[in-house]
Amino acid sequence: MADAVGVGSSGRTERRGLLAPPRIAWQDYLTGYLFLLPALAGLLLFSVVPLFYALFISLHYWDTFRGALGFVGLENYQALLGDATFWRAMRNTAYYALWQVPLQSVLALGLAMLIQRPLRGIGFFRAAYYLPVVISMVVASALWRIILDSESGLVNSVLAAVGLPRQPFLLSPTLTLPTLGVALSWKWVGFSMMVFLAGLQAIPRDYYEAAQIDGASAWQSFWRITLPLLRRPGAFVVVTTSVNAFKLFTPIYIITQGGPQESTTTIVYEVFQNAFRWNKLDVAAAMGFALLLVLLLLTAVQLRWLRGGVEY
Amino acid sequence: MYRAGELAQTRTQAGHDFGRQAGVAAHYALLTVVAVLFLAPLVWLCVSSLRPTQEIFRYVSPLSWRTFWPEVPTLEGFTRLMSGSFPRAMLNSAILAIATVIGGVAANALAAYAFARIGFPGRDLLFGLFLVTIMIPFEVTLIPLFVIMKSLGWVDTYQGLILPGIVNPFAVFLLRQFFLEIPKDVEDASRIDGCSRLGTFWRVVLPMSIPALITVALISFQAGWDAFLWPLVVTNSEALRVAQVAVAMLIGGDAAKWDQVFVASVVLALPSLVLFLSFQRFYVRSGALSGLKG
Amino acid sequence: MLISRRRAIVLLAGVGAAACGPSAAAPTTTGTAPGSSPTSAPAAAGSSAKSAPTAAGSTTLSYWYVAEDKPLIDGVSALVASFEAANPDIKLQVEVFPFAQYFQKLTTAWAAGTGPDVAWIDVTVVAPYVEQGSIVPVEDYMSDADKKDLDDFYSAPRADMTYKGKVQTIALHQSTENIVYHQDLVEAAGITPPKSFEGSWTWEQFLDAARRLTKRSGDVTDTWGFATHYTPSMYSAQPFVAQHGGTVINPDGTFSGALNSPATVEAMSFYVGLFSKDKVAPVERIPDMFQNKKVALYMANPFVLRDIQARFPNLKIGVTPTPKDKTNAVQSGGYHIGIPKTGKNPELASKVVKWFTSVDGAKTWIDKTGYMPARKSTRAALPWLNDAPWSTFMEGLEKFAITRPQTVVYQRYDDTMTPAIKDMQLGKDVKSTLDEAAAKLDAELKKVTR
Repeated sequence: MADAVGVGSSGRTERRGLLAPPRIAWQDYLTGYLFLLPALAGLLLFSVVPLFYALFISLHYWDTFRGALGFVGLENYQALLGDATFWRAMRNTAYYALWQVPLQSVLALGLAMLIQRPLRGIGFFRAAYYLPVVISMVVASALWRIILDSESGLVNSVLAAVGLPRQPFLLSPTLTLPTLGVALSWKWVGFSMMVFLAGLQAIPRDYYEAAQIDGASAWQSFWRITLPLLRRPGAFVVVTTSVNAFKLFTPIYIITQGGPQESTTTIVYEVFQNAFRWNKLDVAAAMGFALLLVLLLLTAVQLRWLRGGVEY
Repeated sequence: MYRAGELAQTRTQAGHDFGRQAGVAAHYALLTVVAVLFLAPLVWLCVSSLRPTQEIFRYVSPLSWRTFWPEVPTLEGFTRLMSGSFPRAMLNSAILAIATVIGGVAANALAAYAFARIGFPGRDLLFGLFLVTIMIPFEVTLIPLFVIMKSLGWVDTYQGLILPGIVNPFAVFLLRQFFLEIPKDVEDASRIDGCSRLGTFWRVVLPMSIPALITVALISFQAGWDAFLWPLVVTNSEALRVAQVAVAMLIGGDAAKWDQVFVASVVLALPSLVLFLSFQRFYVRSGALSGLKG
Repeated sequence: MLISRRRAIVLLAGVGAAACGPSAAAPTTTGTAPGSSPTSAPAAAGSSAKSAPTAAGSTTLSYWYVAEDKPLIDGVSALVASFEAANPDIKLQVEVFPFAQYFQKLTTAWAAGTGPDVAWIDVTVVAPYVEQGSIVPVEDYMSDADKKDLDDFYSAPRADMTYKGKVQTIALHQSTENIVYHQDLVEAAGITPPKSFEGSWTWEQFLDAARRLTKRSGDVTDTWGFATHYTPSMYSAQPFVAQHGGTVINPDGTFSGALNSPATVEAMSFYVGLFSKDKVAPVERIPDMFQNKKVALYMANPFVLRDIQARFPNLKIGVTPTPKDKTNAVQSGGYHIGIPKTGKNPELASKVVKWFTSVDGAKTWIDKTGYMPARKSTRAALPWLNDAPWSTFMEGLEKFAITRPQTVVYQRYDDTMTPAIKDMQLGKDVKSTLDEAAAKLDAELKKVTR
């Protein structure tokens, strides 16, 4: 966002220059709007209008099948507040995020430092760690469903071979959500890793050399130089990972269907079920809007907290 | 954190050859272990796709060489998959992905150029609007979007499937950044030569922006090829079903058709892998940036 | 496209023939169905363009059904081929869905005013679909002779077809489950399963057999004593409830007091105990687990026998009745076929419905799939239905059939109970789970009827 603001202001100065010969201005206006038209139309029709329409639907009694059946004000939201299923989905989603976001962020930083060293063949390792990012979520979900199976799963087979007890990874109400957290970290960590790698490579070498001359240990250098200077990529990683965590859907739809014991129902899964299985478009829209509020709040808090420090 | 310490430590010992070599060896060992963790599931998936149906889960436990290699590798799974409705689903996925690439690059590049180079009233305001919409998660607008599609009569049509994914405000942002960096003199020269805006854009700006365009094309392809939630909602008939949804259906039955799931997964992953390995540089960049959109 | 066009040209002569029914202009008209809702008309008009006649006089109708087993897919293909041969001006575009997705797809399509011209409709959702105005009664397109012909149906499916005084859908077959077993496995364990309901296993005898048939090496199970063909749900659990004298729904349509009654809790405890406590049945399922002898006793529809005949002809199998407790009980019901209101041409769609459920159509269907017949004439035409192992299924349906609850919240009931049963299989307390489920469904019921 900060970049965008900076660029925006440079754009302003440039426009003044362009506008200098007034004769061609109207032509430019027209060309500008025409260039913009396709994207703007798409944006309005498929993003902006739906956003307000979501609010509109959530204020009505609205059946998937019969359409709008009357204005009900905040009744749908009120119903959500008293709905145990909704709170359960909220809690599951938050719990998942609280585990998966730190896990993926820490792993990403570790991997970034591991692949930062310019060794021969390091390109291969970078590509290998990034590979799961380009596999689709559906394929990744299918893969986990198979290899985490309690009977026929490869992971349990390996555990058994080294003498450890088999685990009901996808069948236990306490184990399933954390297991999915690990699986999704496998899928996405390569992405966060590349962000951290770019951050690491931007740190000037002489900072470390100076610290070394001052007698700082490697550990001290990490805490006093590396971490503070990774604040910006770190904020980016934490925000994007959190947003993704709160939108968890595909693995739930494919692997757990919200079970066992409703321990993996998530907000987006509930939105889908309400809208397309139980015909409750109004409840689904209200849940979607609640998700938006949570995400905005979360992002604002995280950015304020993480962006405060050193910029370079 | 441990790794970080170790890494820095090896650096401080740079003078000592033995320590340095040992450090490098340890580093490679660690890199390799992690690489195995990342690649093993994918390799196992590929190998499993070559198993005959009866053998699929037979040798998973106890662990043996058979767990990792089929007794008699066979392509019968591929043949069976390709004789059903899956090729149609692949075609639909390809149509979706390619249309998203073409439409996405065109619409987003035109808008980006307008924002970067053309002056018109309300430009900054509109650009602000584009930036704000980056923050709107698709999952929130899913329901109203479905209702809109329904009233347009676009449910279960290609336009309903494809059009909502074309405009990517993040791609607009990215391309605008790139266009701003192109020296203005080059464009001015072209315009003095009598080229129109569109001509300049087409003959001068686009050829100079190939890397950025490839990046945007890759974002768009991945988005189209991997799309799941929207196709699941907006298409119902088999004629419009995309491959990702088809795979989910293979898993969703009373007893998932794992033999076909393995094969279908490999077939689905292949284009993504080939693109990734051939355009790695752009890919990593697009991945790092497209994450903003989530 | 190519095929249909060529076929259309070759068979153009058929257009005017009596067999074609309505004139060539009829296929494109929309909203002609009596009582078609005005809200769906515009959307239906929009969608009709896409499947308008492909060539002069030829119409394509879409046909959606549910299947995951090969005999069913083969059966539909056979009937589609015979229908198209007899009706050269109509082409059927068949689409098959897994059970887990079918009803969501149907709802979404209907909500958008699109969807198939002909659809399979489970007996359990006939009532809700009529209530929400999703289907056109087939009776509106039936001649007197057609109505007379309904007398050929057994009374149970015949009753299921009628709602609000009209024939809404037509039954394709009767669905029911008994226990299919591997002859060699039971012999090796010294077990002789009973052949008829007269001497059917009690729960204790059944559990004992399942225990003896379960074989483990270490913590890996080589053979499970028991498994169900379908993902465990109320479909397979309800017979156990009925055998123990329990119910799932009150006469007034509510669930509390029935679904969580002591008898239901006890029966459910026995059923889920097979998975959780006794560990004779697998919670996680793999394809063909019975066919690959990873399961000895298999609760399944008779079409599984057809599948085995086709794909695993060397297996020696038998059928024993579902066990009894206080009484015997087997599941009934099955798919019907009906005409969605969003379809383009209900008149032509009704021809498809009638073809699939006609005396000849039903005979082909039952012969191909191994389902139990809904028509008496089918049984007379197919002698093998009277022989073992098929006769066991027929006997159960005739003497001990139970029906699933008729409720407007059936989808919720199914979506609540299937995961609940899985949770109980994994050890969740049965009483509290059923209490919660009953309360949840009653709350849902209140919202729907507000």
